[in-house]
Amino acid sequence: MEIILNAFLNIFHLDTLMALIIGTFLGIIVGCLPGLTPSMGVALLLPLTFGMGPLEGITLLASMYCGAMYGGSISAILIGIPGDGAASATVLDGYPMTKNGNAGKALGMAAIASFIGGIIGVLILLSLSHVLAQFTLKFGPAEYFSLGVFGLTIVVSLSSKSLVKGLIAGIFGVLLSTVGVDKVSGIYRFTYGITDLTSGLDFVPVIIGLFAISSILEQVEASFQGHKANYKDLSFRKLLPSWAEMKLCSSTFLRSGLLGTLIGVLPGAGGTISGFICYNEAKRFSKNSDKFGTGFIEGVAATEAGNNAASGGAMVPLMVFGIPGSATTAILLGAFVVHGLQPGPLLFIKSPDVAYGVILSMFIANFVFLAFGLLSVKPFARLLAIPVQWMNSAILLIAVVGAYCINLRVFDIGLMLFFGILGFLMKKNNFTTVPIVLGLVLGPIVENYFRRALITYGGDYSIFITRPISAALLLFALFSVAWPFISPRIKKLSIFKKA
Amino acid sequence: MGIRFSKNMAWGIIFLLFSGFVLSESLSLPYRPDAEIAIRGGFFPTILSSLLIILNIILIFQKNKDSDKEKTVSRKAIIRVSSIVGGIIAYIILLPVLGFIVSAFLFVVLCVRTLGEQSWKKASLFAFLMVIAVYVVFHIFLNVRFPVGILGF
Amino acid sequence: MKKRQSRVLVLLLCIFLMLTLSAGCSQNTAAPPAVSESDEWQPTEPVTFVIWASPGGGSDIYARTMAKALMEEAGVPVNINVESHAGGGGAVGMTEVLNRPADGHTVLVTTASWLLTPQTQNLSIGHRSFDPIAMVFSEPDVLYVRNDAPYKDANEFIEYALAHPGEIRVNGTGSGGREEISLINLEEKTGIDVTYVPSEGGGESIVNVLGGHVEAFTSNPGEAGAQVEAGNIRPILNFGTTPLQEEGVLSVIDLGYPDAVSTQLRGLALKGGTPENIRKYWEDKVLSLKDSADLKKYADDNGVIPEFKSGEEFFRISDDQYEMYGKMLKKLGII
Repeated sequence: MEIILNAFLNIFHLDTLMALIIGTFLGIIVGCLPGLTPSMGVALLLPLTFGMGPLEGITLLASMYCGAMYGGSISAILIGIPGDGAASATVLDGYPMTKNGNAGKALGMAAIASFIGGIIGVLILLSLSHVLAQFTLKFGPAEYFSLGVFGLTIVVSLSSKSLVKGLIAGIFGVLLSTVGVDKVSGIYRFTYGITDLTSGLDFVPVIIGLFAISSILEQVEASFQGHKANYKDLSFRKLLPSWAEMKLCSSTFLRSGLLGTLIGVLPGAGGTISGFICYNEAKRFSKNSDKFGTGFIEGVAATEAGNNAASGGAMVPLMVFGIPGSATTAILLGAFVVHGLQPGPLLFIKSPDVAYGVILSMFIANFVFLAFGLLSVKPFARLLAIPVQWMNSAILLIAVVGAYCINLRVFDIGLMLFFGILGFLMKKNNFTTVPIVLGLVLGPIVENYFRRALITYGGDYSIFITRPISAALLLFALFSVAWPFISPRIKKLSIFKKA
Repeated sequence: MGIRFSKNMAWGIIFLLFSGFVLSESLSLPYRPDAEIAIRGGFFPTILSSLLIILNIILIFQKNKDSDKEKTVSRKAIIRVSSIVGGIIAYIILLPVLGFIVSAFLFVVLCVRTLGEQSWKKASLFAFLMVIAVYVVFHIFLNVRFPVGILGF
Repeated sequence: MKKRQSRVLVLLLCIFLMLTLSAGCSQNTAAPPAVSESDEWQPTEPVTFVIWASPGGGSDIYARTMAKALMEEAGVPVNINVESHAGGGGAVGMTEVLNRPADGHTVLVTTASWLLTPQTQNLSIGHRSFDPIAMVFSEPDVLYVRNDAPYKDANEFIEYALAHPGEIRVNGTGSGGREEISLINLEEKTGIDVTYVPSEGGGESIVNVLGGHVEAFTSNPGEAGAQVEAGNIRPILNFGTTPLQEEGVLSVIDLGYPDAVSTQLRGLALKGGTPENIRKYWEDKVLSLKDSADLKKYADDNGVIPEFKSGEEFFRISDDQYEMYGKMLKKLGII
């Protein structure tokens, strides 16, 4: 306890606080610009920390990570482009809210939910990191496969309009994820000699295409003249979520916070998957599950709490084992090493001031972005009053720049355009495009770990059901598929009882 | 009337052709001689494309629940959409040749005009400001290297 | 309304016209810029280090450390930026450098991939498309096991593996890469039969070994350092030629298999056809860092071994490795 207190005092040095605030702000900027992922932001800042002390340097990067996780939601809500992969599920309800004229509420809720999720994640990191680290050791290839299958079942609940069309989109997405070099057998699949395809389709241009370009094409076609919204009454109160809405989401905050942390802890799962899973679970347990996807505030709350909690979780394997679970934490690992520290079992013993200092700085970073988020709701909501031809042109420019930035490849702009047109045509024919994204993210997990499990266990297919965690996850998956068919009956039953 | 050709059928057939192609490609993927079927690189693509084939056959024969109201798309709308798409294609081709600043400027002018702005002056001014803003944020602050064209910038 | 549309079309037409014009122009101006052949060469504009890994990984940190040392200690007068062109097992980064002028302002940061990818992907380019600057570090592959494993050293490990064929599972990054090749090499030399399980990367391999999902893994010392220090895992076989920081670890040479050596060479290279005085400038600058304290610290922190060698020697060693990889990849049925 004394160590934590000391670390707390260390944070309140001018240098460290400055690093923290600057890091969080830069994180928000990087987060909300599509094409600049949190990992790129942290990598860009890394060389700047060489001249700083270890605590300031790592604080700068860790708070940037927190800020970026939140920042992704801003562009997801305002323009329907997730600033990073983790905010993909935020678009599902955040952007419809903007279309309904509730952008302010969505932004406010995103800031609050990100804050609550982030705090839950950091508190768990502070108190239970060693327990959770042991939990990750239970996850072998079989367990990751089953987790991936569980994640894929979200496709079913996303395809309420037409199950067949949803499944087609989902499987198409998984199929897209097989493009490129196969990590298990080493062969090149569907690359046809194109070098740009060998590392697979990059996730970012695909989501920019499917989400942003397709919806702009829709608006262009319909000669869209701007979101309906009352921009005259921009009083603070009306912009922010009401007390009743906060109460409605209270259990969602908690569920997403816990679930998001847990998924974030698993190396290789990360913010995107935890955002989707939290969204789906919120939908399942909500009394208003049919409102999800139409611009419902609980959907934003669930995703943002989930993906921000995941960033706390992702620090667990890094700090306890020295094992990075994601691209961003891999760079943070590098930062520790550059500053002469080795994250791992001995970090908390050898340099507790830095270890706890970093955790506490993440804690405080959450307050910084909450303040920023709440204060910026008004100017951001005003942005929407910009005439549509300017707004959409700006979005198109940011989209083509963002797609290029991710790998500095013109190829990715073409990829973005392809998926933009595909998404546009699919939406016109009542296909949902989100399952493609889900398939693309989860496809490699399902495919690679299925085969790794078979190699590890000598071709024994029964391991997926004989290993307890794997079996439980598969059972959840089965339940999740069956839920949309069972739940109306349960509801009928309860009504029947009341009557 | 017999079979009415619905949109779903069109989609089903397109996807069917696509998955048939993927299936035949998956079956011909190379593998190591000693690898079991399930761990070969072609295993998942084969299964996935087969599933797609089944689902698309269902889609083709499924009763169309969506009211297939043909919303007539005006010619103007088609021109608008295709000029945005064409603009992105032109941007992709121009980017390595003219460099970022010029191609992005032309691209934004085209977008603003297509989306309904009448005045050339306003469109150019807006495009200029946007491109400069993006250039400053991405290139100068964040060190992203944009393609430099034959004009030297 | 009609008028507006026609204007858009005119604009589109204009763009395409300009496009064809400029495409024609660019062909004329595509000639390589003149590079002075004078002996006193010096970079005049910011230099780019191209890496083919994602930002933040081992290669990125290596490139940034080198860039910093070159600027601060070796006196390179311009800024050196690190750019990531990840993908295609290094092919994207290599192509990027080959697409830029051979004027010494773009430097390729190399790893083992450029000896492997051209063979697995059947590329027309390879390490011989470049001019070597120098070799800087080598990173040995090392076999690690859990600390409580029944085998205490390499000999016991081989004995155990011989007695229990197929029982030991070994993680390594990817398929058909350095780590698998080094293991297959060992199997061949010793007659053991272990199962290679391709993993996502060093981190996952460590989790799998700690969690008991596999028995051993091969990786670079940098990735496993923290766990070794904490006493959870330990190295038992060194595929490199230089002793590890941890004492008493047998190497493949100690076991009598000098052919099974597997190390990753980290060096720097320029686009092929760069004037010799430019190459020499960079070679001198890099080799002048031999005694740099920063680089020594980097080497200690990351478990890599400083091996400053001239460009010529760098390529001699690379050629040997290239051939060895080729032989093994053919044996594996990958090429």
